[in-house]
Amino acid sequence: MPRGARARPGPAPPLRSLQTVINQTVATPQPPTGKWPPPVAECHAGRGREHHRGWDVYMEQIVDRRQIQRSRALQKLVRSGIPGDLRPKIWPALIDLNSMRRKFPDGHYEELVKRQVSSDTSSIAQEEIDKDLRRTFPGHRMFESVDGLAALRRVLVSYSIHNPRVGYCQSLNFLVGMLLLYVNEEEAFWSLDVILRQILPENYYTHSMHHCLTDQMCLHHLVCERLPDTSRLLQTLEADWEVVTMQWFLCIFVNCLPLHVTFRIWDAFFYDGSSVLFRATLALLKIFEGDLSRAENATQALVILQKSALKHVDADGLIKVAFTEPKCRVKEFHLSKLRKMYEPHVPSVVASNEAVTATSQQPDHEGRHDEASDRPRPPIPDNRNSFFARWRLSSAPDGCVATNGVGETEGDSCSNPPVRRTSSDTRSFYTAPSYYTEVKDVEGMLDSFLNECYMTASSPNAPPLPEGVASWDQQDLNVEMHDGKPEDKAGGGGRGDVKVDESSNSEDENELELLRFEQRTRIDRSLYLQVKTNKPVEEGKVQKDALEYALLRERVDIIEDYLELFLLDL
Amino acid sequence: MADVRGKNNYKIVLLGEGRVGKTSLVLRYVNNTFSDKQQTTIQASFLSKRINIGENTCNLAIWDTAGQERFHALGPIYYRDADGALLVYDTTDTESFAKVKNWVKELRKMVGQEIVLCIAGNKIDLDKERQVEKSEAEEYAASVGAYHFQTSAKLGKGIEETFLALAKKMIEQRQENDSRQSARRSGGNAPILVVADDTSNGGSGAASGSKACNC
Repeated sequence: MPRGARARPGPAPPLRSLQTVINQTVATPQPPTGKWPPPVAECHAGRGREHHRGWDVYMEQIVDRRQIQRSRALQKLVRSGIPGDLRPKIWPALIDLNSMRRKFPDGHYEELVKRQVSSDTSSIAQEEIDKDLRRTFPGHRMFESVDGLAALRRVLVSYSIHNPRVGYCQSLNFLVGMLLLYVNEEEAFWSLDVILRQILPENYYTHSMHHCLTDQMCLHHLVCERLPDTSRLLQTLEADWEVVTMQWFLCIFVNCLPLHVTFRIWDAFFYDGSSVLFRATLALLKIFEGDLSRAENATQALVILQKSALKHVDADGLIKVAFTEPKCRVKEFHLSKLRKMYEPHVPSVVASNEAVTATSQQPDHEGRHDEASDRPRPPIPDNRNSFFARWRLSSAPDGCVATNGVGETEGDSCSNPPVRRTSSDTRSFYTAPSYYTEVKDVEGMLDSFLNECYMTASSPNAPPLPEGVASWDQQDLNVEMHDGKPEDKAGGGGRGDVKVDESSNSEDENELELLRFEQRTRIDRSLYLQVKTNKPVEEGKVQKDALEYALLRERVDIIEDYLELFLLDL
Repeated sequence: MADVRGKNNYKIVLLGEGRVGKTSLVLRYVNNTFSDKQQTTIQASFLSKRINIGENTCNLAIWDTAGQERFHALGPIYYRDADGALLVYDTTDTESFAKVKNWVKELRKMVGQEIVLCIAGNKIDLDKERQVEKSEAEEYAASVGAYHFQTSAKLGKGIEETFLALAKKMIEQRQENDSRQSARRSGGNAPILVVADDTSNGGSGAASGSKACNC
């Protein structure tokens, strides 16, 4: 692995280990000051040594190769909570911090820190950061110490120089604070970069907050679709619940849930990506369904939502609902579809201010305009009553959605117009495939692959069977015997009722769904298994290219995801 | 605009630059607590308080919002359907006062005259560092038809008065609206446009726009 070979030890952290800070908090009990300091025992989601044991193999991987092999088993482990003392190692490995770090020259972070020390002039971002420093986890020992605050400031200011499109956005202080609880300063910096550039869509924290608003529309769509009762209730109350959920998204639940619950969400977030935000939000809405029904008016509903979340201490319960309840099931590819659909329809946040703020730049959006108006309107559920629809109506008297919707998308307006970049520019700068970008890349190919599978399987012109194989079922068996992996066994044997029963006992929900999918579409299971076990795909198979492409990327789980999506769509 | 919210429910939105003390002001008012260790408000947080004014009991829904410029863009979400706005500035910071002026302009343009405005100069406990003179602020407030109060969340000064004045005015305004609406109803099928004309004669042009949307 070239990656492992090139790995270099990170520069020594300039601060003392943050773990010691946390440990100090354990040693001397503090008077209760609100949510902080957190009950540290709870933060460490570990369940004793037994829980640690499952991690040994991954810790070895990290030591050997400085990266971690993604697998269903790891996913399960992550979702059940990373032990607190392992987080400093596991978090950076999960998001593949080193690959981001390697894109920049050695000592990039130190350079940025030096630059901010030498420059006398303080930018707007710096002023804003200084305002928020003491308002980040106040009362927490670490952020009351000079060292802790200095580290927080260094990371935030460096980041505002490093990523001028974002600069500083309130809520980043909480993200960095959260990271600093477990990783060192430099790692926190790079983790933030990974979160903002790879895990979340790119315009989450920029001036336009375009993608954050897009996500709220996607969420609205999902809530209408999955939790119709709650959605109806909130609509009758005319409660703009997106105001609350947007905070959840921006802060990745920091300060929105009890800390130990937030850590669990972050664990999953680092493995599964931005879909976790949606899953957790849907789960919370589902859990609070009963509480919400007691609300008499809009504000009460919002208060209930915000307060119940802050009081929701059952981390396991939340994770369970988020990851096993079908209503909460959201996948990255599903999201990228939704996002694509809603992106051109995000209400312009700047349009309403343009007349007021004279300094606003007229955004250059001619190209986008045409593009957007050509596209069909997405099926916004309950459109008239939705938060964004109403907002749009109030800011644009003619109620014209298409033209108003593209008012400000790329151009971060405000006083200093940045160099105009298209999304592809930014992406090409960061060429390494992130989970998010990668899904986008493969999406089209796999989409057509699945469609074709479905078409050919159900059509009389199904592809011919390979020689020596009586049926696809037979093929399954062959692969199964070669391979003998326990996790594939659930799918082995003949196809039919017996098999379904077998796997319904197994815990792997994906396996079961795959079986159902197979039964409907008669898809070639051997192909799937071959890809899963990294075996080369034979010539003459359906959509060989698409599968090979996925193989190259070593992202078999994406294929699994697609199979699931296909199920959803059916 | 108001009648959908329920008869005695009033929405107040707090706007102003970051770290002027919006959250502290609300917490002092609602819970009578003060902490100098306040967290940054992201997006918005919501509190409610029930007060008695004369014979009326009214429920105040207070929306405390994020102060950073970036969140200013989300203003329309915050002040939508608001009956009153409390614009907070820091008496030790002239820039925050300029920000208040921006908010006033925006609110008058987007919402019109229907929203009751109140300007609060916070942190008067730091009188030594004062940069915004009371007379200047009062003069400005009068010119835009807003109340002006000097407050200190730390000392608990001037806050009751601020919210009380705001609440009284909001009740008054709503009664006015109601009577105007009933007048309209008794006037038969008078088209909505007539009302919109009334408003725009009395106030800014934007009022008719927002009125039309609402109907």
